[in-house]
Amino acid sequence: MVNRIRTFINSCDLRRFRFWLQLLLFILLVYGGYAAINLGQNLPTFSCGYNQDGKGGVCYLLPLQHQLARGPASLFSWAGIAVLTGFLYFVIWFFVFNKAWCGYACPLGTIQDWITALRKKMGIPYASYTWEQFRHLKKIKYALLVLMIFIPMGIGSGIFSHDMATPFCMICPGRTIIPLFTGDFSQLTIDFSSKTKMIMTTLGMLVTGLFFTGSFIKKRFFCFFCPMSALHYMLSKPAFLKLKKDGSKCTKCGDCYSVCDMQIKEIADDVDNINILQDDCIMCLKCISACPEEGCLKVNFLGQHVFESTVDGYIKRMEKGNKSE
Amino acid sequence: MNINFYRMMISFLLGMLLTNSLPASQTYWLSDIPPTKELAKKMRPSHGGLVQRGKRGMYIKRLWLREGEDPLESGYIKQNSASLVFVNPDKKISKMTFRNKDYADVAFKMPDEGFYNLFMTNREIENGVLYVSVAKNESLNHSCRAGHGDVKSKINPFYYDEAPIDIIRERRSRETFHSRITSGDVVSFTILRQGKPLPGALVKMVTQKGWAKTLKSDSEGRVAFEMIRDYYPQWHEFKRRKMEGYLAIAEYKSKDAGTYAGEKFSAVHYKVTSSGNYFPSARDYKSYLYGLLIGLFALTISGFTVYFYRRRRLKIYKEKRFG
Repeated sequence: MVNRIRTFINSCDLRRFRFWLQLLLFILLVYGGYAAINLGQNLPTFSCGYNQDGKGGVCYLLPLQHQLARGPASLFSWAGIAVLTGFLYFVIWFFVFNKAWCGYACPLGTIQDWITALRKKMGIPYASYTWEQFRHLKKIKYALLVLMIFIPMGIGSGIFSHDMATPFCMICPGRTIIPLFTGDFSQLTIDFSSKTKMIMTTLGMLVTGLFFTGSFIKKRFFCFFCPMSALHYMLSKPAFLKLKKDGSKCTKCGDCYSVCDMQIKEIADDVDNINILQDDCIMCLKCISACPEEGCLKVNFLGQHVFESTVDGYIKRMEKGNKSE
Repeated sequence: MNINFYRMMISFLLGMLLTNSLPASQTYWLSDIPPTKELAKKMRPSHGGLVQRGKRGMYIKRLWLREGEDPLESGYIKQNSASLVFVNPDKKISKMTFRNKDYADVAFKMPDEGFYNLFMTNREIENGVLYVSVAKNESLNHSCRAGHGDVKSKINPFYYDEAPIDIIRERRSRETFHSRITSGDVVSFTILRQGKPLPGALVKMVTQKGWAKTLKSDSEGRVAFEMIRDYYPQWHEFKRRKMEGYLAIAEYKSKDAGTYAGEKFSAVHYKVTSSGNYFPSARDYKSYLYGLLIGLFALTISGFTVYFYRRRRLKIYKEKRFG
């Protein structure tokens, strides 16, 4: 019985499963608030807090920036406990699904996947970075993470203006785009109340414009720059969900690399490491579904195989013509 | 010297002279604005106005009894022995008194999230008229670290059926703990007498810049004011957090006769006050036009850049021949 279930899962049409799960989670996180769903304010995904009524929970980056701007006196007092508690909740949420939060739950990621689907329908080819470009671009998310932590701390210390509050949210396209799905257009404005606000909201609108062009030609364009992804990677080692590779079974055929939206070369090249998760990985599991080698790539939850590459599964997906790009 | 100075002096003298009673026909209200700069330094802003921070960061609200109709210049009462009714967010009712150290003030801890209500009721007979004055304060306690769940149940106003007269600020449909009243917003009040809607009450809205408007409550005891826009600084001086105070005063006269404290009266004059703050409207400083233009600009430029970059790469290779 267990073997039959495993065979069924390993032969599943991952693309279809992912589409419906993404849609379900999008509805939950973008419209859940209307059904009184509240998953808290420490979610490891872009469930945007600016989506006033509809949000089913709040992206952790918003309260984190808010808390860090309280100032050192507050952070190193009793209030620091609240910051640590918030971080603990975030870690617990994150540990359950690891970076699959990006590949399956992130509303902004889902929007990018829908834009990609539109491009495919229009028959326009996608763009990819060169290895050099990729190597440099992937550093941006760490720079944004550092800025996202130090600017609020600077605000709390009186170095920066309070008008710079939640600096990453100000430039995040999630703030401007996700509320649109609940009919809230108020984030598409330029705030002229101060020079700082004006600059931050202008940057936000410029990034929004670039987001649409970028994600139209490049799969998961924004995820390369996402500081949440960087934060995820720093905590991903002890997470319950793991992406594993048995290098001895890998033939370096490159199928996994060719379907990877994030152009992660190591998924095909690295035959030494068992834990193959990279910082840009969104754990969409397309690589497993495209792998033709029995048990070469697999995803484990607390040591239990959840989904792994099989010859049968590969053939079945090929026959169905469902091979993911 | 303006009239406010004289009013302040009078209220100061009255405060010095009167310890247990208040002049009947005056307007009394509860304010969280401290009377001195020294006290103001101890305060910090919160979502529910000015607060002090107590042990373990618990907010402590401090309110002062004031006299007059000017939200900015009204005098501070020095002493008063009136009994106060305190209602916490769980609707638990208890009695309090003013501390009467330097001013008639009261302080209470706010451990729970939601609205705390305080009612001061004063009854005095003057020229055969019983003046019933209720000074009401509604203070919000909210900290974002407590989360933002269950807002709708916590945001509702408290209806105090035993209040001789009450003024309720109605909540707006999308109101949250972060909502502010801004210029141009419609602020609605319901006037209640012993918990029942009171039609025909005169409700006056006064702002700290002197704008005042009086309306009569309708058959459901409701009135609605559109907050005035009265902040026109230069762009570089604009402060979107510029807070200005308002005072809502509801009055109602009835011809009920009776006896109070052994003294007869032939009419009753009810008065209830509630103060609040308002801010500049986001419409004064936010622009959709510029936002959309900048967004479209980025979209167009990046779109054309990608298009021409791809076209350039698609150019057919032309062989160059030398010699």
